[in-house]
Amino acid sequence: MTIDLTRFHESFFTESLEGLDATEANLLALERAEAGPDSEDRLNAVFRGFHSIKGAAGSLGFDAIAQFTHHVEEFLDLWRKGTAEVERKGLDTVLACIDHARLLLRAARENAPAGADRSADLIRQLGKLSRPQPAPRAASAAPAAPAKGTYRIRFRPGPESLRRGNDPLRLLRVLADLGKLEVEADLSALPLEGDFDAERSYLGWRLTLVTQARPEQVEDVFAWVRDESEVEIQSSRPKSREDRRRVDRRSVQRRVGPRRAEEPPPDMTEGMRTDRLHVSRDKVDELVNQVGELVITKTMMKQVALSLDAASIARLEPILQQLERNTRELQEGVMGIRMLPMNHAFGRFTRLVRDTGQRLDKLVRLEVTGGDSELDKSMIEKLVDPLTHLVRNALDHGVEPPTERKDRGKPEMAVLSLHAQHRGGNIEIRVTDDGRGIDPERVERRAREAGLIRENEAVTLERAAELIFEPGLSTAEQVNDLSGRGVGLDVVRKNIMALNGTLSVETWPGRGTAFVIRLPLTLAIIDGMLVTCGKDAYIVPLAYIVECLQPERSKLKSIAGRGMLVDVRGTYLPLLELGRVTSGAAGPYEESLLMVLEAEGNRIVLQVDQLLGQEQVVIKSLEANYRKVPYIAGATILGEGRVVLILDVASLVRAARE
Amino acid sequence: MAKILVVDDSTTMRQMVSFTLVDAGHDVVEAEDGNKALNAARGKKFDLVITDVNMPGMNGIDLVKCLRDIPEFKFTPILVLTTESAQDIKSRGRDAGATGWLVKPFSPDVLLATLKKVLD
Repeated sequence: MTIDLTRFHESFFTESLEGLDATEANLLALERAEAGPDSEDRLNAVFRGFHSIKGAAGSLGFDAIAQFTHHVEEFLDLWRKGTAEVERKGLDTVLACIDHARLLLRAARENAPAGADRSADLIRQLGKLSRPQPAPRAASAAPAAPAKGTYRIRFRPGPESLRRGNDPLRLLRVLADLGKLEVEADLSALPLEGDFDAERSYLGWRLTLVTQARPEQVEDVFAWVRDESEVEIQSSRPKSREDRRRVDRRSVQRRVGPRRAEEPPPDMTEGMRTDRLHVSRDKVDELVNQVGELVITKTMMKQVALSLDAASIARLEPILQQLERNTRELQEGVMGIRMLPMNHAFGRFTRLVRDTGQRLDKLVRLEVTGGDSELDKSMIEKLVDPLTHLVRNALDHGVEPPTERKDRGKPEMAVLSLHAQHRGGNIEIRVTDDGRGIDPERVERRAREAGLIRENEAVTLERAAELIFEPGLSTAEQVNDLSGRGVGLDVVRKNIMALNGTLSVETWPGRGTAFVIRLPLTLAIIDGMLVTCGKDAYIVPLAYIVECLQPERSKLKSIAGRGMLVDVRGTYLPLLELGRVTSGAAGPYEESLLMVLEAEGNRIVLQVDQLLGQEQVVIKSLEANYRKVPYIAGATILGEGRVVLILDVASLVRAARE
Repeated sequence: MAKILVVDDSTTMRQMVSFTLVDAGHDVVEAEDGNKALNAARGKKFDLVITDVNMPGMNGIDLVKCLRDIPEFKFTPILVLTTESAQDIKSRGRDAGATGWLVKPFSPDVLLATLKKVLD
């Protein structure tokens, strides 16, 4: 029987890559924590991580991965048994092995095996750290057809073998499958009737087997019972040349592995993109439930529709409401399947903080809270880059070196925290450090050099907090390999905005900085307000709407060179007439409706004609289907089939404030 | 057709074993660790149990011991999945009452061949 193993591949890659993430987390926890009761569990979990990959890789024929993980496992076993001490150098090497195992898995997934040299190199390092290890047995070569031989076997199962589930008759049957078997029973050990214990085995056999099978195959049949049974195997089979040669061929195979150039260092964000989802059973059950409800509602509607008259139209109403509810819940359920806990993104930062901290000679502890808050999988994947940048930024610019912290009366160990929390239909992710905070004077100096501010403009803390998002402003005293990549916070903000989210900053001089990302829970569907302007209708994403106001002529102020401002309870906000942006002409102010919108920490007032109500809309990309249009984030199709544009509030706010 | 309980914390290995068995016409129940396996086993009858050794929670060796204490599993063949290097696992498994072992890595064909030793 041939079995297609490829169907297990994706599951293997997904599971192994996730397993490596967990292994890495355990290893880092092991490094942080002093020896304690947890450390043994952690060590076992790390061992198990490599052990599982080895087992599955071998079974699926990924020999290079199996061999590599085998060596790591052997090394970890020394730690586990206490023969070698868990120390820094070993930890670094095992971490490098985790990175390399990821690379091997990804290469195998792409069907492009690579990294043989690096494997050999890491295995050598592990060997140096322990003692020279004997090479593992290579996967056994396929047997060539050998000559027939005769085996004479004496077999008397141990008295306990039945009790362990070994039925000697089954073993005889397996022998019979190997060739021609003659069986002669030996009843000499049968007890007298009264002493007979049905759970014990008393029989013995003399067997003659004529077969092509190799001696190992015959011996293997008795492997499970050998220690407790009497087994004697005499072979009259001539040794084939094949047997004698097998050993040599193996050692040659190992020497001629493919040679490749050194692999580039692993990419942090790669491996997030798994093509399979692990979904909890509850979520799927809930979905199945919802579909059932939907079918019932549909049947009810059909019945009513068949006998449609004035009275039944009234009966249709509650059913339609129910259908709407079902559809909404089903939609939430389906979206829920793609939701993953934020820990999927947070998990990898332990390593980043450790490595970056080490490189910068800073002492930093990572704290993660709210990691079980869920977010759409595709969003999580797209968040890894911006988060990585924010974390690096905090370590590089925010956190002070230990001596400086000590001088300021702070603990030498800085705390960097990642926090996620659901707020309404959004998720809020905070990257907070307890470092030096944003220094307005330093920002002012840089901004002036870069020509970002006017000659006499004073830079307040709030202004500084906005200026750091300007392209071209880098406050790094020197360009280093962390932040000197030409990618600034402006790019991070752009990436977050591309996800319909916002990025803002809160800072406390001398005490720390928090970057706050706010995102809708899913990319595909948003809550929006349907508004009209002239002949057209638009969707304003609800997340940006602060409030709606009736226009009052007395609250409208005109300021020379800066357009119109609206007095909203004492604060003057710039007015943007949507009509002027879209068609060049706006309707009369008094007959319009005003919306206070907020994006990136700034507020404006948007003037529209009418508010039609709240809608949940599916976002369709305009860029993909048409082309990029200024101030428009996308399009959607309303229930009645009308195509409506979704406003890009962030760009409108920026336009209004310029 | 036999009823088989497959216990392994690795989804890949568990699926590989169970898909192979299902393809061969057997009825398979899967469990992720020893405790879940015990829950699945209680009050039921299986023709065969195949379990990994190294699992979080209750490991395979303890599972074998617990199963042997259940009357229905007194004579049920139980195979432990182990690695070539783990000689002591084999003897510990046997002491616990395991029928035999299957050395990882193994191919589906090897698994099916092994079944002959434990199924009628």
